[in-house]
Amino acid sequence: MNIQVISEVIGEARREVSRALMGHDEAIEQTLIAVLARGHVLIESVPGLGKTLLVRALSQVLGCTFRRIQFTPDLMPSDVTGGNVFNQRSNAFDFSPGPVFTQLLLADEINRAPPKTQAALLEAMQDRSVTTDGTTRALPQPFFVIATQNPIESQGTYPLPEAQLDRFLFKIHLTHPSPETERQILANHLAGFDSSSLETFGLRKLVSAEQLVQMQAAVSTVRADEGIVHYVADLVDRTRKHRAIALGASTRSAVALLQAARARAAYGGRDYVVPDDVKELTALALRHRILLQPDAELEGVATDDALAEILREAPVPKSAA
Amino acid sequence: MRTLCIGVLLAIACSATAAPRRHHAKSEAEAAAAASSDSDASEPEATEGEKADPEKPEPEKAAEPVKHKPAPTSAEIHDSVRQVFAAKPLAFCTKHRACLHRDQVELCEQVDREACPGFSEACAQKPMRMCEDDEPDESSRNRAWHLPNLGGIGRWLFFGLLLVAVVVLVLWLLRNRRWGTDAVAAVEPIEGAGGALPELDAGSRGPIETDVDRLLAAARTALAAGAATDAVQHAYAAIMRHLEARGLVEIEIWRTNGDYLRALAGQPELRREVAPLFAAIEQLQFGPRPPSHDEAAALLQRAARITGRVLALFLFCAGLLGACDGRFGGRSADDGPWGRSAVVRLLAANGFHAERRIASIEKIPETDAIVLLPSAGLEPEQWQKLIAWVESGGVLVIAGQMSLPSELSITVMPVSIGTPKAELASDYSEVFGPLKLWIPGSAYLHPRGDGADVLVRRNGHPYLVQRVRGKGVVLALADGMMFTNASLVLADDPVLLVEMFSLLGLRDDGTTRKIELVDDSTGDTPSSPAQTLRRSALAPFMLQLTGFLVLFMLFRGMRFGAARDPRLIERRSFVEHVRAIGVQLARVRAGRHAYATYATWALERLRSENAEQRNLARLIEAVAQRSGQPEALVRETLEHAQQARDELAADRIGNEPLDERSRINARRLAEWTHRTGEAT
Repeated sequence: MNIQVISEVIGEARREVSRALMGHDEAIEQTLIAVLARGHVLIESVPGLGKTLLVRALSQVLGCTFRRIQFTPDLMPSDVTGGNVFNQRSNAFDFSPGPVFTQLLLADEINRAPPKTQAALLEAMQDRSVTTDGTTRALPQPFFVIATQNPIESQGTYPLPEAQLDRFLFKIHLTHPSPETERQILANHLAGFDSSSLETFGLRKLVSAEQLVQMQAAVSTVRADEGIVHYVADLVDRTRKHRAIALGASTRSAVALLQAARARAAYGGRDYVVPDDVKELTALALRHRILLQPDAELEGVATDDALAEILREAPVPKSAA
Repeated sequence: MRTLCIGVLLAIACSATAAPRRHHAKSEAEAAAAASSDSDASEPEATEGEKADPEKPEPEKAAEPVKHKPAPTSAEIHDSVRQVFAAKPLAFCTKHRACLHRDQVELCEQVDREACPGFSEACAQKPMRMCEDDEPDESSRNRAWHLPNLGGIGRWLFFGLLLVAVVVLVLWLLRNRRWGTDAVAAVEPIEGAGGALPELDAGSRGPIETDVDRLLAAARTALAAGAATDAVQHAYAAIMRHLEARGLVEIEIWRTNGDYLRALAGQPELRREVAPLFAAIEQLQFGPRPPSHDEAAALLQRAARITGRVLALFLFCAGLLGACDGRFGGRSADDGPWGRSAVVRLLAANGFHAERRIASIEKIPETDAIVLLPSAGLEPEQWQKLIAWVESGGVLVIAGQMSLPSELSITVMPVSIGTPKAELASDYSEVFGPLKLWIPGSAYLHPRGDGADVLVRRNGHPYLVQRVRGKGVVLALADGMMFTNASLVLADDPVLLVEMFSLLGLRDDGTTRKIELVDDSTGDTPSSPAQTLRRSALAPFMLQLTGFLVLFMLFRGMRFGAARDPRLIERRSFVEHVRAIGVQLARVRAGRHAYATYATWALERLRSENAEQRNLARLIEAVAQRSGQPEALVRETLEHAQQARDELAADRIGNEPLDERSRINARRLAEWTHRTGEAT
């Protein structure tokens, strides 16, 4: 598929989703880039900012099926993946697919489930398949997980293990919209907009699931110059040497960052990656993959601060300086 | 008597003719004509003049035929007047004027309509409107800018600010020079540093070209050499340096084009212009194929267009300079009806070299004639010097001096009643031909005694009188009217002026004859730079030049010194101080001293990281445990370190080089302090 077509379609998709979810253009754009890069997204935000609406609107615009799992402490892995159920008629076990068998999955408040249940998503996210009772079943294509977690409440939560976090391409911080946007949202609500019945809102389906898969494949044709590859490797390497970072980014994160940069380039209508693609996505792609030194955390240093410092040190390829 | 005087006058002209320095054809012809009427009077004088001239040419040279420029006729002089007024139109002549001042009304009668159409129109107005006394003369208004006449505090403030500006500039230059020295010192190789100290210049880059023009030139050179990729990089650098020079962006090695575009948020138009350019550059830099020659050339063209704004600014400023009223060369008052700019140009057009005398009259240089204008005020001593100079052969024209020395026996009478109509004395009508003169004014001369000859009468009273003094001659005019721009457009007045100087043999003919006009500015040396500016009418030029320089500086930055990158690090980090000390120690090859210092620090560090173990044995045990190293090795290292520390404390270490054991121990200490404590 032509890169220009991808740019136009995804750009239109962003505008279409923005009609339903106002004030989060940047998050929508980042989510769409993650979709193009075949990555999953972890959204950290307080409740009520439109996470579910975002996923549902995306599913409509991108022509994908949508399921939601509300993670709770008593959620079992089989509640996610599904399981074999004895069929009295056939006297055999039939597989009852869980909610993970969808194209767009919203894992709401994922940190409320115990690690065992969280781990049930690991295989699905990484291999896009589910194994139950020794049988591996492929998930529908495309498969895309948007998980959310609440940064405020920590009681009764199970922080996501590093291995799980590494599976997410981006970690997006969703913030409150501006008062002006909020006024517009309220006006829309008064005019009859109901987020629970999005079907009546008339969002256009701009692309089919098959076309989306083709787009994801086309992203792999985007060229990354040698300088860009060095830049990505340098950034990741610097996370391992930074004084405030205890655990640097993994090799998987370098691959993810490069792939995300290619997706962003395609989103921008380019068949080549520029340093800005990498730089703009570095925080999104690495912030959840690094661990800070305890003393840095005590000093109030955030991962974004450390990454910003790294970005201020790493030389950009073919710079004018 | 008149004939005698004419003869003397012509004899002076003839003597000038005979000598290479003074020569005039018409004078010769007219002298011959005059001599025919009275050969007794003229010939002996001429002979004497010739004898007296030390520069008399050799007889054989004098016999050679000399090609003389024919003297202009009356019609030619009038033509040259019109040409002078056409070449540089004077406002009082060409501009429409609503009214006339009282002193200008007398000009109306005989004004040359062709040379002075504006003035003629004003004269022709019915009824003629008279200007009020305080109404400015639009035609001769001084349009040049002048610095204010500073005085008192203002003067001190002006010069104080000027001094401060000069001091700041000098300090800036010195600081710039020092920075340059620092920059060179920073990359000096460290002698004898070996492996004990980090190499300061490791990874340092060569000098970075920051000059836009040179970058563009490098891009062109690269393009010509077929290196399109390099050309693109140079063109990109040129654009960025241009933006940086304009203060719009700060180039850093970690900044991307997106960062630079965000920096241009305050300049949306420029941002819109630059964004596609960045996109084009990135396509060539990171695109799937290397840039072609044509693509690089197109980019270079666009880069040159953007960076070419310097030229646009320059042209803008040049336009500003060009917008000056063009009065740099003289005083605007000289262009008014009573000014003298046209007189000087008319004389020049007719072969005379007339100029305003700047130097004092105290020292009379090698000049042929001096014209004293009405505003020239002379002291008695100066008069005496002038008369002595005349007696030695000089020509002095006195135009409108109210008080003349008694030696000249001429008195200026200020007022007479009558019309401005003037006429030549009969004898001079034969020399000059029939002239119709119209000389506004009322003063007249009263010559006393013998030796004075009246050339021109106005209203029946003597107006132009000449008197022979020694080898020279003095011409006195009752006023300075003949030396004004206005007189040139009146009747045959310009003809009289030109003929008068011709008769005196002052026309250039291969050799320059110098006529100096003396007025109030002669010898009046300016007392301050501001006065100089004011007199030279250069204030607008200087102000606009200053404005141009300020704009240029804001646009391109201060480039008084060698171009170099701005100093980025204002505050040094701790490690730089440590490194600087290390460099100093390396320079004096004090490796052992450096090791002892480091060992002292490392021991303290290890103690602080190991529960403040002051006992060395316990410290060795703790370090061995945490580092996983054999205790014997740790003991050997720490004891060696402690020994070095003690020697340092006792000041027993000189500039000894680093031995191999100390080098190995230093590395071990570095490893252990890193492993057992925080990263160093």
